[in-house]
Amino acid sequence: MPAKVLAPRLAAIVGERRVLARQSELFTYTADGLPGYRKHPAIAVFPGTRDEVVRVVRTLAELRVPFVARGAGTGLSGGALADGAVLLGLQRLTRIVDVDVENARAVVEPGVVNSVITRAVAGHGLHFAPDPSSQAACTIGGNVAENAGGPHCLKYGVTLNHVLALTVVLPDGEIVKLGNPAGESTGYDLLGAFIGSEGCFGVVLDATVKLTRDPQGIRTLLADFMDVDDAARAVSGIIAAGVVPAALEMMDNPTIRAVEASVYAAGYPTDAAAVLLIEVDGLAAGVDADARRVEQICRDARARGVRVASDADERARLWQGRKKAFGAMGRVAPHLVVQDAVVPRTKLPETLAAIRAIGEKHGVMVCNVFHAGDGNLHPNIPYDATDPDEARRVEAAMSEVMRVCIEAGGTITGEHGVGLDKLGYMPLVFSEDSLATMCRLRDVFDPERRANPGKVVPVHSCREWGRHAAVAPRLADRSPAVVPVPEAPWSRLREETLRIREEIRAAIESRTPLRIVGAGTWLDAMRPVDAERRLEVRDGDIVDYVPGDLTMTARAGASLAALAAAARENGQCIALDPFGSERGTLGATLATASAGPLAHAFGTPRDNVLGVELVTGEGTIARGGGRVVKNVAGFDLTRLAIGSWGTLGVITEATLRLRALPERDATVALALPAQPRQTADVLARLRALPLAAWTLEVIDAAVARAVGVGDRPLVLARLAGNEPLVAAQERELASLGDLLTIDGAVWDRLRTIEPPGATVVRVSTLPVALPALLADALAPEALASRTLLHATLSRGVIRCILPPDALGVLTALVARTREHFASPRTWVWEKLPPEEWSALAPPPLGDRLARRVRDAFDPQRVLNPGILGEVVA
Amino acid sequence: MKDWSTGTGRMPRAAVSEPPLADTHSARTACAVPGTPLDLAKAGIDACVHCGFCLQACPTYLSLQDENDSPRGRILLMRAVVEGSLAPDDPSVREHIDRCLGCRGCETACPSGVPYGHLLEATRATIARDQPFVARLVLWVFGHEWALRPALAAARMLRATRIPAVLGRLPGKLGLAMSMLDSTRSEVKRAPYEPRGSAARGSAAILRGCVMEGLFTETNRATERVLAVNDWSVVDAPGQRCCGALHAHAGDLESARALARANDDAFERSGAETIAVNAAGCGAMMKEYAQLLADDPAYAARAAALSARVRDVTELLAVAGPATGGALPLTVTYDAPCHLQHAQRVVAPPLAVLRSIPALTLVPLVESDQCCGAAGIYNLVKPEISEAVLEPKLAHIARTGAALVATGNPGCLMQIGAGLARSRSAARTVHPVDLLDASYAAGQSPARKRE
Repeated sequence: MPAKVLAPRLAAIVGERRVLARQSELFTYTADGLPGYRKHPAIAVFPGTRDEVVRVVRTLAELRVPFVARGAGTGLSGGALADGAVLLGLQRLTRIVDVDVENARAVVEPGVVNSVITRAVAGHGLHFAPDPSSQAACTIGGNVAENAGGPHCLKYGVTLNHVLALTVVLPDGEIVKLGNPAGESTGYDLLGAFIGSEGCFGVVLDATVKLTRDPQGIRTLLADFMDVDDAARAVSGIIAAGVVPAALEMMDNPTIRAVEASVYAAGYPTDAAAVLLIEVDGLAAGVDADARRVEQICRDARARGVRVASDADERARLWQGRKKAFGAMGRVAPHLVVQDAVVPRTKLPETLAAIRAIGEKHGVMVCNVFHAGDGNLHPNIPYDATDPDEARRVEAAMSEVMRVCIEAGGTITGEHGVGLDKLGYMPLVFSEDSLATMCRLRDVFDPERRANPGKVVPVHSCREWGRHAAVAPRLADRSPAVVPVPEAPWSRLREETLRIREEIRAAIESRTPLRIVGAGTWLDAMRPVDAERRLEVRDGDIVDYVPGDLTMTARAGASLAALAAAARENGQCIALDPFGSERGTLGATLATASAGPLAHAFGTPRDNVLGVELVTGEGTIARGGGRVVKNVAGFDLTRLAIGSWGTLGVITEATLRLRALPERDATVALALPAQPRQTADVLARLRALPLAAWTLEVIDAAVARAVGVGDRPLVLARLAGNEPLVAAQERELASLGDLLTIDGAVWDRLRTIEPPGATVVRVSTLPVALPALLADALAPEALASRTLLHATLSRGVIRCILPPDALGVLTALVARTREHFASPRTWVWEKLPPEEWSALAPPPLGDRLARRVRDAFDPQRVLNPGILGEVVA
Repeated sequence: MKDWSTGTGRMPRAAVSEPPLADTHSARTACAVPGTPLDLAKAGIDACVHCGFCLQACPTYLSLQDENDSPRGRILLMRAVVEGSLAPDDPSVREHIDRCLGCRGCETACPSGVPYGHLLEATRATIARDQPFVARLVLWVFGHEWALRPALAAARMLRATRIPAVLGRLPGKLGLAMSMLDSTRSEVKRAPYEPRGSAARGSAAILRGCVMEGLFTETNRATERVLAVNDWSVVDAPGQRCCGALHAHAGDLESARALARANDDAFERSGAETIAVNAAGCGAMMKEYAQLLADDPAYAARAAALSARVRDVTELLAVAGPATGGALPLTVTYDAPCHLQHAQRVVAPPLAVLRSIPALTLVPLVESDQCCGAAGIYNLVKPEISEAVLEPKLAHIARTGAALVATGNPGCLMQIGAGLARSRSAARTVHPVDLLDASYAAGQSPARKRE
């Protein structure tokens, strides 16, 4: 499409001034934040409103023109470069549409700068947690596209964990809503799949983001070391000790000197081999003990000095230096390679040593500034690209660095994305089948592949290409020569994975649908499955567990109880405690996305799984994610598989994030008043209390009886952490009523209260509306006496367990909430008598996108057909 | 490699053995505009790693929302000219380079120490520019003392008629110019007082400045008085000229150098140990004489010595305390002139001066470090953009509820002053020194505060 034709069409939408077609004015848009690449867009268009964005995208769809969305152009993988495509600039969409302080969320347009959100809500004691170093410039649209991290994602999680819903316009012009801003998400996790899709799935029109309460206390420590190895050991020591710092960053000497020469000089000792910038935060009562522990670990690792920031100004200075370090590299040499890779945290010392050796071998200077707590390395090499010899040495060194990281069990990008820069590395961490499966997912959103073409997955990554990866063409200006890594993670397929693939292929062949079965504890959940044959997932081995990394890879047939026991031996735990039998398997927990009380603090399975292996309904073995705690390589098959109820593939293996068991772990019960109105009042006050509880579960009197803790409604809380932290929380809770300490075994009993054949439904709403929903709509008189009711407070989810003969109550309940409760609410049906499904629950696969996902992954409907209520042809 | 500006030079080379740093790269890169000021400034372009941290610090980017109007975008345009991808006379290059206010807000946001102000001047001196008549006229007048004096005298006479106050309501450039002129009337009424000080801090010569002496005469006298109260002996420096900032910013580096040499001669002759400047733009220029005349064998060393002695008046006052005067029960907010905040990096002293005044309430101004859009004569050349940049500033000022906006630069005083008047605000602008002077007048015999 020549620019001459396109420009007037676009100008008619956005105005003449907002379409750039002159080469001279497009020059500025030939680069993003990654130095070294320049790609010329055909034309650039800058819509100013959401409506204009939609009209532009629809015009481009009509004309079948490829486009690349761009925010502030601060990305570091070349993801926003438009090579001959239309550049769609979103930096003018800067409206903060809504701030909901009560429910701690905000709706923002894609061009809103990350730090502007925090500034806008600062007066309310809230902030937006993802804090990429470019947060003073980068936009939310870009954060969503890249699944941006930042120093504080060590404790608070990445963008994925902080976006509740998105409105997006698909490349074909359709507007879809992903996620649920006011309750539980149902259906496939397309929100999770979209976040981190690097602009290949569509354009964000608005994002509903979660706001995080400011920590009561913060301690920022600067530890300096005369030896990089010592610093790396201190990092491993802190992680292994189970302290979860808010951030744990490392800078080496060349980086320190570059920063200290800049306007952001922070007072880092310029003679140190490395410094660690460590922040612990949380309730005021707990931070000092954590800070002391961290300091001791650093000193034991031979830190020369440990300094604690004395006030907010000093803390800000220490952080400014760290966050602007990448920019400061410009002082060292005219060009810069910015790298991003992740290794398991226990491998940090040896990886850093290997990187140093590679630098020496090639005579290049490697500057390390990185998120040490996550094992997320950023080895940067300042150099002079006009010196061909130096440029060649830099390229060789970088390629070797990546190889070292992959061989250590890591991945090729933790937060910068694949974009253009990492394209050539993709076949090193993903098999040809995995890449092809990722292409399938892309095609669901963008069958014409017009959105950000040529990024993330190598263009020729259809099956026939991957085999020739070793002789792959150079894909980008400076893309690395593809060096095959011996023993790639995907080259060792387990016996059972191959068996499952064969069974699925046979099922496709014979058109015999399969019912996927683990331990068989979930067979009464969701809609009845129309399948005669069973596909059993039996392998329950723990494949890989290095306690120091706080990650565990296990086969899907493992029971959660077995995994929990293995973790407990090492003072760790898995934050998955779904309701139901403890014999339930890992695979079933993930496929059903079942969550328990721990979701209050740690989120649901989507927030705890780092990677999966699955066999799709096409009989393809694919891997999503990896085994390290931070990973944005490739499209997110992991989030897609979780909660898909087996309809897209059989999960055969997963890697979990583990948590360290705390110094003190106390379970307490807060008695609630008998009157529902008063209960609502206490729960509202509870929400406002400064707590850092692992669980806050409200249970009604019937549940209390069932688990043997009296016979009145209670809030069950699991308080975990260091001694002062737990004590402080006990005091806070006691301010609301009688508090009694009970045995932690209550949690296991709570998971198994439902009688066989029970009907189970969940209803969710905005957190602030939950007390009212509990008190009004679900008031005891509305329920049969044998109904069990409990709720996870921060999630806004109430779970109702009804006896088999109480369906009438349920129908009345649904009607009653409709009548009495104005806030939005979402019903999720876990278990119903088979004949009631069609009457009570509309099929979740009503939308086009979900149907397309199913079509792409299981076109023959051989996996669990009917379970999601789709019409089987 | 040249050390570009104070404290932000390139990283010092370490003594320990390490792979060689490439700092001779500029010699290897072919340049499409050899021998031009831009060619000489090329190393500064190379320092940019394109991180984008400057975007949110740039008033024209925030107003126009196009990266061509951002520091990063302009640096890419400069790079394109150096590399030969774009011609020096490319209209797009000219347009976006012209649109820069030169506030240098990007420099205090830049981790890499890109000397943006110098790059801008070098670019303007290199590319073909077609300056509007107003700009050429103003530069010519400021460059010729015999034309400047009568022009300013005429302006004072016009101001006395109060006609500008009326015409200032008119839309367009005439209204703006008249309103700016009217805003220079001294707002602070004060009784005469006899400044008594010990002269113990040594001698200071004051840069009288063109607009300052012509239209803010009373502020210059106030500057002499408050320095005297704070123990400086104020000496005269006859023969001093316009500082040359307007010329340098416009890319007329030769005229700027001529003026710099004249000032060098004059201030050397005065024998003053310190040069006090009360106009942020002029102070920034004089502190950069060292770089401006670095290639002039006769003046390089002398200019460096002069630059080292230049101080903003508030820096001198802050060092002295300053002495406490009488009560001034006013509500004041402070807006930082870009050339004080970003170019000179003088941030705390003006606030210290204002805080020293008894009974004065200082209300913080949101985004006080952002440009007001004055930028020398930019507001007369590009009034639409200038107004768009000023708009948020006026809104922030309104929210403070302050009666006076203190700021230490004539351009800002007039731009904000005119903006307030034309938006029917009751607030007025004032130089911090005038407030301190009024406080001394109110106290008559100021109580001495000794450190």
